[in-house]
Amino acid sequence: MYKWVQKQFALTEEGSHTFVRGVVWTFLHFVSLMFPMMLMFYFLMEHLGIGEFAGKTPHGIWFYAEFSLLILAVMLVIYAFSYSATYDSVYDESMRRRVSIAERLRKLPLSFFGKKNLSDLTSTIMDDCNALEMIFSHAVPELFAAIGSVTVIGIMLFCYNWKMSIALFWVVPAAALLIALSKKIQDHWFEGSYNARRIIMEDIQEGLENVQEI
Amino acid sequence: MKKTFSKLYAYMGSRKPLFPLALILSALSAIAGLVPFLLMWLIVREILTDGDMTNIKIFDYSIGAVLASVTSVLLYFAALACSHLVAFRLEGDLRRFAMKKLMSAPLGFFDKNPTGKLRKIIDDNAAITHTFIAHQMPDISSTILIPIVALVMMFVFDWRLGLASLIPIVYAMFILGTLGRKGTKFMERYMQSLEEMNSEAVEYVRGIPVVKVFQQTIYSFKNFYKTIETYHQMVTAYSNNWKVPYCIYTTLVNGFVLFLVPTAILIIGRGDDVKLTIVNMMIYVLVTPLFSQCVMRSMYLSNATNQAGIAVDRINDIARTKDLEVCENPVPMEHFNVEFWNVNFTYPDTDKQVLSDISFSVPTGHTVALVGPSGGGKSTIAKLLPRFFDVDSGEITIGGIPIKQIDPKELMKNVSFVFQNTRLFKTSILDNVRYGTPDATLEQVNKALDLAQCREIIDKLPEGIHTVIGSKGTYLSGGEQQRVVLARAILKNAPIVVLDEATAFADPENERLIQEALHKLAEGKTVLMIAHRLTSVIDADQIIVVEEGEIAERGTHKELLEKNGIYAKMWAEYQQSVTWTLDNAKNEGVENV
Repeated sequence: MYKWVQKQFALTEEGSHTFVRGVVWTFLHFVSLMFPMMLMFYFLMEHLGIGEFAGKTPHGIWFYAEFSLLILAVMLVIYAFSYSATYDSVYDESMRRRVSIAERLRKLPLSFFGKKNLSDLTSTIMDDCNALEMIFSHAVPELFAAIGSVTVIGIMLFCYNWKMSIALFWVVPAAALLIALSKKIQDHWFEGSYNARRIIMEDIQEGLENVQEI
Repeated sequence: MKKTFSKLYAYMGSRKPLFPLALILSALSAIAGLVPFLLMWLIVREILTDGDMTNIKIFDYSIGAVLASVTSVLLYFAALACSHLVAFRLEGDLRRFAMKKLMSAPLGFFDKNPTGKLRKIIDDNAAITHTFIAHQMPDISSTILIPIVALVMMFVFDWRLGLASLIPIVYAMFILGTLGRKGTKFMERYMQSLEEMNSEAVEYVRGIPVVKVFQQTIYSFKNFYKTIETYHQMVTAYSNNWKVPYCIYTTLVNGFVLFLVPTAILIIGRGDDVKLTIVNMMIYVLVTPLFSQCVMRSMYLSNATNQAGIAVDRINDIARTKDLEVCENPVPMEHFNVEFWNVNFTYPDTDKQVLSDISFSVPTGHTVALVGPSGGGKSTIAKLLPRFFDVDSGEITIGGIPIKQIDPKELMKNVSFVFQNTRLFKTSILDNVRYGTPDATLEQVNKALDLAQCREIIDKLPEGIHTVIGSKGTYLSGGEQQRVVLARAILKNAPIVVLDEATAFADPENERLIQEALHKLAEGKTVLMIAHRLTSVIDADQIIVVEEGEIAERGTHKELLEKNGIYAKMWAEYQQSVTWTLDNAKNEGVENV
């Protein structure tokens, strides 16, 4: 699996391990968000006397206070791990990526530098590295963890009450469909604006470099 | 915050009115977005107190909730559309403004600031203002409105539950807030280190061909590596700094229910109605996350506001570079003899005086050559004439008029510069040559190209003089570019020529042609040249040897040789190096045979 991740996201070997770790911890973090709600529903069912709780005396305040503290502690620990696994390791990976690109550039044949536009090249390296850093620290692990946790939680909810679950979960496929359908349109416009940006950038650079002439 | 807005406002142009409109639309959207929460509370109350699921009221409430949500989304969409229109204008205007300002900055400014860095400053910071205005600004009204409404709701229903859900969140905010102030400072350092990394990257990539050709050590790589590392250390330190508070914050915000439940039990224990307490609790479960989201967003927003402010400041900083002082009553130029009178000069932002007490004159039609070791100040002298920088003390005159009293435009018209590192624009050869003299006829351009020995370049290009440089693989070699640049100077036909000789990279054939073009350019002109090869100064009317910012010797080639001083020594060394290369070439030739 590491190999696949490494190839798919162009990570180093170390990066793929930390990436998987990040996804797993973020997944656990998402799942831990359910705990408080579970306690609340237990409380609701007890006090409203629903189902098996009918006629029974509800637990006292100490029972709830102790569980509350326990859940808080568990959430805190899980989140601390997930924080380190995402942010810190992404910055390490990002540094490795920059250095390896720089080394790669050095080994390219001379003719490459004659042909390529250097300002474009460098801005591509730097901006893309930045974007990757941002995406990998904030979005990508969350995305995978979200897919995982939504699936798990979804299954659990379906077991509990499938009618309600459908009412809740129909938005997931609908949203996915919408994204898939609009992807082509988005890509098209994005490419256009990206190219326009590159042209502006080149013009600015050219203007600056030739300012002596003007 | 207000300051940032007034800064941004200045660049919105005619789309200014759309900005408040976006804010109003987003506020309406926020209010519409709150309605479903109230309706949900009503539904729960109906179910719990009435127990009848077929209640007609519940159906009405549900429809109302859906409608309110849809309205909210539509309003938000409209708000974003407005804000984007404003943002595109703002972004464009900022770029244009910065470029316009840079064009009138003293040319020396570009010696100090790498163009890659300037480009990135303009580009990135304009983009930041776009993100801010287009995406973050519309949220500001909802970020302010929702917490207020939510707060009111929280205390209207049951103040005890309100406190129970608010206290953990307020505490969490407090922890983050104390760090937030550090955050602003970090942002500045972050941007700075990003910039350093970028300009080091440009240097590095530019340096690679040189490194490859000359087999030098990878010094530039080390520099680049160092900036990458600094950046990495800073980001990591920053992320560590936030770790504990952020974890506490996330846990409290997501676990507020854990405070709510025990409180509810306490309230029930005091004899309050169970069902009513639970119905009320529902509103807290729904509204509290909304409240904390908005407060969190307001933190991001104030961070973003700061960032946008810094972004505009950075562009303004570039723009604030001192313009050239322009004399109010410029004196027209009539004569073209150049004179330096006791000139002293120090580069801006440095302490070391690079020129001291430089005096010499170039009579009309004469050629004066500056020679000497690199770093001695020759190039600086040449840069002072076109006012790349202004002198500290002393005076530079043309035709007896101090150059500060000459209209810069007229100065530029009468002085041609040919520099080592001149580049061509990516337009046609015709436009490139015509650059300084846009109204020149095709005939004149052709003549200039002929004089600059460019005919064979033109002949081999697919569309001749109309070929766009850089298109479809049409690239000119360094020597060829030099000649086209010379054609530009010849066409300009200015009476004064400042020449920074660049023959270092040209092959022998190109060099011969360049020399010829230079001769044509210099004919009958007042010429100040910086010579790197002593062969080209033999015919100069006067040779000035500049060493460590002072004039060490002056005279003609013959006079200086007789003097047997620095120049004589340089000449002897130069002769030796030339014969050495010739010998070498001969030896190689023999080997090749």
